[in-house]
Amino acid sequence: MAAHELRVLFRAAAGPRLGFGHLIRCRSLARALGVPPLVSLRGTARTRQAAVRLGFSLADDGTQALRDGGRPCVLVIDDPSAEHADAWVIRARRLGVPVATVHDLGLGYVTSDLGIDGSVRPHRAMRDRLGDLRGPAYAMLDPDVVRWRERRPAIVEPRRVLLALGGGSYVFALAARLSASLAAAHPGLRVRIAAGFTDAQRLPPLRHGEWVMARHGLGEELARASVAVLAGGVTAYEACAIGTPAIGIALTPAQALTIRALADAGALRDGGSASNPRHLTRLAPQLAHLLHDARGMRRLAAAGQALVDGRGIFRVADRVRELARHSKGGRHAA
Amino acid sequence: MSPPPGAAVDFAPPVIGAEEIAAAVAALESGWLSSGPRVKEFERAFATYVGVDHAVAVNSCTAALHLSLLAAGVGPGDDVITTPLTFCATANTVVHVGATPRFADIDSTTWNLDPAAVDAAITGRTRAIIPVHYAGRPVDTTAFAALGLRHDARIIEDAAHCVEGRSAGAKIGGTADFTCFSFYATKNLTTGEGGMLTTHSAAWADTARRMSLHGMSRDGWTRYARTGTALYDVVTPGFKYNMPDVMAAIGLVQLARLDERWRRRDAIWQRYDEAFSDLPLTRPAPVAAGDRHARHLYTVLVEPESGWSRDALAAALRESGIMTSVHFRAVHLFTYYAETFGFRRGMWPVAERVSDCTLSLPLSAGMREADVDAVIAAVRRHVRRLR
Repeated sequence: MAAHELRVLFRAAAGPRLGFGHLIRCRSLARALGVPPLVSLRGTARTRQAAVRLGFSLADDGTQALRDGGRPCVLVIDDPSAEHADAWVIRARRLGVPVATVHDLGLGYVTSDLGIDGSVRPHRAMRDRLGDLRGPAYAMLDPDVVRWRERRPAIVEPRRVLLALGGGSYVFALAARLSASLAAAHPGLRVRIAAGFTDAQRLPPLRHGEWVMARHGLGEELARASVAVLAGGVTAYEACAIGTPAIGIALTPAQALTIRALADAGALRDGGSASNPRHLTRLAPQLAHLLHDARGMRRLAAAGQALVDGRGIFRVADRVRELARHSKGGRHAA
Repeated sequence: MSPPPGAAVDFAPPVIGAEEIAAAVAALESGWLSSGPRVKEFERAFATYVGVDHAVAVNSCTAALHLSLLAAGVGPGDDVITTPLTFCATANTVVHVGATPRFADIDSTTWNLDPAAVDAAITGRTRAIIPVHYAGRPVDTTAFAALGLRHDARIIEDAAHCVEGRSAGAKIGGTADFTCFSFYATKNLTTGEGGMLTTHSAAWADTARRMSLHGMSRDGWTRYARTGTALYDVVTPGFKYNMPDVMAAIGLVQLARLDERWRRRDAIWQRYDEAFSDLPLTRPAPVAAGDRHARHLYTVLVEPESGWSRDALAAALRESGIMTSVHFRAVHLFTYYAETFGFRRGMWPVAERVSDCTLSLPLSAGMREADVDAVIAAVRRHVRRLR
């Protein structure tokens, strides 16, 4: 099925508290499929503004988007709430629209025509279902990650650190504090802080480090950084794929699970939880230790790249396209 | 390659996914459509994958074979020995350089060119040997290398089927004087049309590269890039064999996912092997220790003892929606070769038996489990019906 014949509707949840990872994943999938990013949002008015800035067209946030002339070939749901996701699965099925659902760590798992969980610990139920896509081979990352993975050896800069912890005022204060402690402990370190999807005007001034506005993804920033400090969201998987050694510090319990699992695989260092002052205090020395441990950095990079190859988004896109084709009675239907 | 209406399983559907499409679009949007930076990158990546010093991207395996023969200095008055069980291009290119194709018989177990038969066929006119890694099974590269040294003949491996192959642990592509790969639509690594020549010799690589583009001293990228100069010389009348960037962009993605897709085909291969073990069909022989079969074609021999002729079984499978193919009709039996060189049936009997009985079943990383199930069910149903 050609891209111009494929109409995909995304249903995603996003917002300052929930983060924008679900929306970003949908945008990545739309790019890999070569389709316009059309989303029905669960979120606030500010979330809708952010989605438009990210290049999305907004569909009706009720189910009108599934009906009539706008009927999609596939509905892709990326919402951690099982209750909300399931309601959309039921509506889509009534209308004969095939559904793919995207999950993390099995949270909010619902059954659909194609379940996708690219996390290191997918839902146990998915292991029993033929056709579901499980594990980091299906991590839905920015399609450009593959390019940055190849370019990293030529562009990585020594003593450049990326802090990417997400958005929101609490996170900004935390990032500012971390950058100050890193700068104090390591003069000459270049600290770059990802600003998430916040307006530049809303960012607090920094005494140390510089804000990075990267609406089109953090691939280049990760590829240029010698080390990154990350929360346990999509960026952690991108760091693995690109081969950027990283320390994970969790802002939510789900992120703690991801960081622990990636650390168990040798692909990330576990920096603990941002809510624990002791963990925050030890982050600067932990980072210093890593920056001086060239062998350790190589090992982290190799383990990360072995775990996540960055091509998951294309594997998922191929299966979504197949789902659309077979729902229309393609020639391979046997 | 298109199946008839109602067909359920294609013979070898190419695996072109979202990543290949994105790469091709990016190449088109780059504004550079002919041979350029992506071709250079593809050549580098392919040479690294194979473990060889030089790779020259061209627009077909046929072109790679032709250029190899030219670079090796093969011409009128020379003989080149190859297998009769190959695609006609292997022998055609020998004719194109003005040399004479000679054949030696194949091994009855591996269906590859038999080094002992080649040894017996070598004469003072033999200038080159072209072993073909039939269906993806590596030839005995060590034996052919020894033959080449002993008789001062160049070894040009036809690895159209064997991009992922290994012989005695060594990757195919770095074991001969020249190795020629195909990226045709049905191949394990496809760019639609395309090919690659690999060699350890810088001089041979330079000759092949120059001959692939009219014999010009500078290619388009070095003439039209901002740092380039438009001036060039023609040092020999070459050919138009260069690969465009759009094809190389697809090839780069295919190369990166080659081993992942090999694993999928290997899994299908194992399913076929198990499912057909009790049928009166001759299945592919096990792979020698240290070798890696590229899993390009799953070919069975449909011999009279099965109660079927190959063509009747192929027709029955086609009626069931299963597309098959034949690899290959022995080249020496084709009209041109029989009439021009006096070849006739009975000269290479093992190759002729395989030629008469071989049937290739669907095999592609793009096949779903339901497709594999359908192939197995149809083959079993038809073959057992006459038992």
